[in-house]
Formats: sequence, structure tokens, C-alpha cells
Amino acid sequence: MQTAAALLTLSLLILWTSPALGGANDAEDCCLSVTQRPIPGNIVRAFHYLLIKDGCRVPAVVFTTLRGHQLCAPPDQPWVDRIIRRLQKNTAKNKRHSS
Amino acid sequence: TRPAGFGLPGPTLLAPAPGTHSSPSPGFLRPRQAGYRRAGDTWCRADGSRRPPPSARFRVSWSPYSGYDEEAYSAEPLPELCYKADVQAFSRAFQPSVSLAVAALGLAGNGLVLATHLAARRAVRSPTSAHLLQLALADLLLALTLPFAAAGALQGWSLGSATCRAISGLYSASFHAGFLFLACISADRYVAIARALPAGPRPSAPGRAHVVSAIVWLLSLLLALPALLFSQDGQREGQRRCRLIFPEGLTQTVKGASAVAQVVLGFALPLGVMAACYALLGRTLLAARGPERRRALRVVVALVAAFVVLQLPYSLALLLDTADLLAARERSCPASKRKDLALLVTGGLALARCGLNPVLYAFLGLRFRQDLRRLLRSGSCSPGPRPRGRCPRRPRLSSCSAPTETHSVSSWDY
Repeated sequence: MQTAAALLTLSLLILWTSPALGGANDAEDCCLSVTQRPIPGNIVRAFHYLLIKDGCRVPAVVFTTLRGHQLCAPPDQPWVDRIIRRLQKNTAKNKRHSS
Repeated sequence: TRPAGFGLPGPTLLAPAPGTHSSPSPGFLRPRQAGYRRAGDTWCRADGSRRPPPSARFRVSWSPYSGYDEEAYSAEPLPELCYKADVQAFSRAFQPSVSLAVAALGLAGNGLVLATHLAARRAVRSPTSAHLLQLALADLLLALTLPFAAAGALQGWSLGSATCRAISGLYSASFHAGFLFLACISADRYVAIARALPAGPRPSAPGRAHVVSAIVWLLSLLLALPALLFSQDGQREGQRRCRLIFPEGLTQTVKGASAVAQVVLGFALPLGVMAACYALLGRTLLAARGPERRRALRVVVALVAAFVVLQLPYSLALLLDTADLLAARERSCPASKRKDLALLVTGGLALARCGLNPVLYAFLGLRFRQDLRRLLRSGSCSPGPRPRGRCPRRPRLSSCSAPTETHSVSSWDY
């Protein structure tokens, strides 16, 4: 069990530490953690994703609040999906209004 | 997953202007499957700049300003996006300059090593000299990829996905090959000294060094497979960059096998061999006597010191980083930026080690200096005006009485 844990640790070490070209990692703008408490949808005006393939370790939905804060939310929560759906609906409505 | 490959931060932070209004792309509905990018098309605005969300429209606005006050809602601060513009600015200056400096050093030094060897037209005698030649080749290839990395950091990756894969693969293969050849050299040196002892092993077959070299290159290519297969030029913050990102559909078994192979073959094996051989070598040298002992010891100390000073900080920084990752420890944004900075600087040092290999391993060797002298005299020794009339050979240590010392010294001049 301990051997397996040690092996896993080493494996992960190497997987994540295989030399990056240029000799260093890239300091991406990322979420370091995500909130577990739901954010009220009415303070959010925009969203975007920052996922693993963007070079982030913590996949997140970033909600831009009305005051310009960038809050990190987990991408797999129902309340997050609800906010995203509403934002998308509103955008579509806005678009129809403006056109 | 730590993105490897041309992981160089983009130059522009995409800060959406408050007035921008972009429509959602069709990929929005299935964002985790569609290739979702942050740049440009990803900003989804639900409301215009003036219109509040519908649910908030009927709220009694009693505060002097908008009333959608998230601070009033959250007693404790919510996790926010960590912007690293300052680290990225430093990295944009630091990485290309280090890459170019190491590339220049590596191309010149390793080119010289290869040139002297070719000019000397001497058959590779010892396994050490064969492996030194391969080390120079590996470092030369590594140095060749660095200008691409610097260019990619400065102005984005513009050479396409295939080139990204090829360059990343070459980088990874030559990095691993260099490390493995360092281990081979340490083993050769130990064997050479052990053989000089009265009860040492017999000389091995002359072709074996080449077989070992072929195995090392094969192994390096195997270790470079992830970089070769999964590097891609993705877009982030308006700039294309070449980096290694494991596809999310990859099975855990494949990832695990690749990781174990990387650990055992690419890291633990060369490090263990090096540590063991130089420890044994140091012990043998300390037990030996004679004037050349000090010189040999000095070389060993230089090698170990260079390894400790240049490579160890990076390894420690990575260890710390990985410990964070495994413990899922949340760092504050300033702490995360400090960690990135530490990785950046120590990574530059680790890269510098590759450029310094010729200095440490070849230039310290006496035979290399003889060959270089010969090369500078344009390959001709005997017709020269030198009184001795022939190439200056390394003098045999006839004055030394103990056979151990004579042989141990001869193992240091390649």
C-alpha cells in the first residue's frame, strides 16, 4: 500500500515535472480554488471557462460580477449550470433586442 | 496537469472592456466538449451595461449605488481568479534571454566538442569518450530547440502543430538523453577506476559503448513520446503557444504507465546511477595517493557541485509544487506567484546546466584539450615547426609508482 502510494507520488511528480520547454512552467492566470457556496446569479454579468486544457490545474467557471470581480466556481455544479443557462438566455434576448 | 511544451505565458492579458458585447459561440452549450477558448469569443454577457438581470429588476434599491453588492452577500472572500501579469512580464524577459544564452553556449561548446572529435579522426577508444560524444550531440540538439522556444515566448507559436510536436519531442528526447548519458559517463568513470585496481574487471568488448548509446537514444525517444504525441499549439490570451496537454480522454492506465516509465527510466535511474558512481568514485579517489589524485578529485567535486547548485534547486521547487498539487493545498495568489517565480528562476538554472556540460565534462578533460590544440593547428602536427615533431601526447605517468594511480589518471583524459 505504501509502496503503491510512493510509486504514485513519484509518477505524479514526473508526469507534472517532465521538463517544460524553456525550462520553466508558465504562470497562467488561473483559479487556485473554486467556491463551494453558490453565488447569487443576479450579481453575475459574464462568464468564461478556464479548464485543464487552458493550462490550469483547477478547472473552473469564472463569473464576472457587476463590480468586476472574477469569482471562481466549479464547472460541474447544478447551480453553476443554472447561472450559465440564464446568462446565455439573456444574451440571446439582448441580441434580439439590439438587432 | 502541468502544461509542458512551449509553456510560455502570453504577452497580453485579456481584460475585457466593460462595454464589449460579444455573442456566444455555438460551442457554448457544450463547453466542456467543444474546444472552448478564452480569447475573444468566450465572453458572454448576459446584460447590457445598463440593464440589470431580470431577477434583480424588482429588488428595492436602497443603497446609494447599484444594490447588487456581492460583498454584502459574502461574509468571507470568495475565491477569485489569480492574475499573474507581473510574473508573466518577468517570464517574458527572463525565459527568452536564458534560452538564447544557453543556446549560444550550448551550440558553441558542443559544436566545438564534436568538431574536435571529428578533426582528431581518432577512433573512439574508451566508453567514456563515446558517451561524451553522445552527450555533446544531445546537448547540441537541445540547444537547437531553444531558439524556437525563445521565439515562441516572444511572439507566439507560428509554426503549426506538426513543428510544435517535432520540436517538443526533440527537446524532451535530448533532455532525457543528456541526463542518461551523464549517468553513463559516471558509470564509465567508476568502471575505469575499478578496473585499474588489481582485482578489477576485465576490459569489455569495444562495441558495447555503442550498444549502450543506441539503447539510451531509444529510451529517450520512448520518454519523449508524450511530448511527441500530445504537444499542440493552443490559443490562450490571444496568442498561440506550443505546449503539452494530455487529452482528457486518455485512459488512466496509459497515463499511469507513461508516468511510471518517466519516473523509473527518466529520473530515478540516471540519478541513482550518478549518485552511486560518484560516491564510490570519491571514496576510491580519497583512498588513493599521488599527485594526480587531487586533479581527479577536483573534477568530481566540480561535477557534483554544478549538479547540486544548478539542478537541485529546480528539483526541490518541483517537489514542493507537486506536494502542493497532491495535497490539493490551496495557496493564496501571492504565494502561488512566488512559487511560479521560483520555478522560473530555478528552471533557468537547470537549463544552464545543459549549456555548461561541455565545460564540465569535456573541457576539463586533458585529451580534449590536446585535440583542440591540434584542431587549432589545422590538424597538422608532424610537419609543424614544433621541435618535438609529433602530437603532444599526454605523458605517461612513469614517475608514479602505484599502478592504481597511473590508470585512474588515464581514465580522466578522454
